[in-house]
Amino acid sequence: MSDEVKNEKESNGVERRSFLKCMAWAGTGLVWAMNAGVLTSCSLMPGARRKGVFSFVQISDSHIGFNKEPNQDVTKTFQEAVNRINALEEQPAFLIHTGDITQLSTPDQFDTATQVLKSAKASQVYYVPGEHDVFSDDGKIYLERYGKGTQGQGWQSFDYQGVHFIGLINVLNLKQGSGTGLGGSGFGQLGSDQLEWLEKDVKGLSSSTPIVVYAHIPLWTIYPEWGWGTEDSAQALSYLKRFGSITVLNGHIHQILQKVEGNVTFHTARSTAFPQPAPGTAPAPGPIKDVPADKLRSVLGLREVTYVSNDSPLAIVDSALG
Amino acid sequence: MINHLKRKLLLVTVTSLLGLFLAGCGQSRTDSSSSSETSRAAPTVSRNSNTEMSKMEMPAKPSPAAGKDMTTPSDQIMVENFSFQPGTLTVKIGTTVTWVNHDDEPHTVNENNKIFKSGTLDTDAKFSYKFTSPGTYSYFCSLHPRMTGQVIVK
Repeated sequence: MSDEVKNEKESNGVERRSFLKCMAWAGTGLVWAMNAGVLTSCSLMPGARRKGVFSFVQISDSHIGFNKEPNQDVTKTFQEAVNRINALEEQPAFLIHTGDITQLSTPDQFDTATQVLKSAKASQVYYVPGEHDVFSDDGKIYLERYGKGTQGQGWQSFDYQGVHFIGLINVLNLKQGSGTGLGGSGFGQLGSDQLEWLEKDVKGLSSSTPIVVYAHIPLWTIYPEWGWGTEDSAQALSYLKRFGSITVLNGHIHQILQKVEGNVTFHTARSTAFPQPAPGTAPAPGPIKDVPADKLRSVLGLREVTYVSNDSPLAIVDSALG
Repeated sequence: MINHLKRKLLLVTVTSLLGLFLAGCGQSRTDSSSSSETSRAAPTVSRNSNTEMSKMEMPAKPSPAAGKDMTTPSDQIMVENFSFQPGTLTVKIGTTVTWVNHDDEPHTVNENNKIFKSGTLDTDAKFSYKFTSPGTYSYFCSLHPRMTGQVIVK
């Protein structure tokens, strides 16, 4: 059930936005509440979609090949996520996987992931790699599998019904961090070649074009000690500053965090494999092991993003797997 | 406005947490275990698919007892909790050092100047390297580049 509350809010004195206040989303058990100032809204009820609307689904961090606590069958939970997508009343136009497709970037693991995704009704999947997909061979096998249509080391952009999508890679050429001991992942980095490409890629677009950026490691600094951030994301975001609506979708941290900064809303996503601790709540960002089996699916999930029209922000609904 | 304050608070929290961690880590000293545990056999050089390393077995070399970790043989480095323990290891020329991954996460051992590279180390996997030249060898984990360590060879 959802209550529709229309607020007229003027942004830059130009547009009105309508907000939807969602108390509960029947069937998934996940409540998504609206916070003042957060320019995202819940998906419209099925059947209420207007012409020109499309949706896509973000899935992330499937880690095919991982087999420890709390999830010894990540292929199963990945398949469950795909089954959930297939059960949606309106099928998404495509899927976006925001990386860590595999655990160890082996051919077998990539094969298994491909097999699971073949069962998705959606015919198109876009990918960006996570560090687990590229660390063993500097991205060679990843590019072999998913490099078609991409530029440089695997970045790409595409347009869909007037929305400009940009897939960025921030897990290659990671540099050694400073200091020893506790910590974990290093900061992500985009690199100058990719930044140069990005600047050119968006140059000709009108500022009213909605932009969706997807990349594995978060593009804002969440927790430096665990390397949850991207060194040179500020430069990337500077090329996008003039656009009216920018949505950034990330993975890597296996939990949902969100942030709004001007016209940019950032969202990290759940994993379909295992959860990770909130920043600073554990000695290291490894899997949370003591999740009871009957609670596991409540901390795994997928995300449905709906584009309504140029006048509305993207509608984002996060669902748990159970 | 609230977002701005929250952000400041987060920054302050993170900075002080970072400060605490760094203070804690600042004392990475050379340490090696005393001879207590070395009733075990000398560590065998183990093979990993992508590694370059020596094929010889080396006897464990006793080192000055100073260590905080009494259970680690003097030429072993534990990879656990996203860190290398000990962070700095000093050994004699000709020593084979073995890294063992005790984390549920895979890790790697990559020397900064590409002198050695372990390949993927899943849980319980080992990597060994025989140090035949003196110097300081700094390395890191290519999956988690903030994990760093050093081997000092004298």
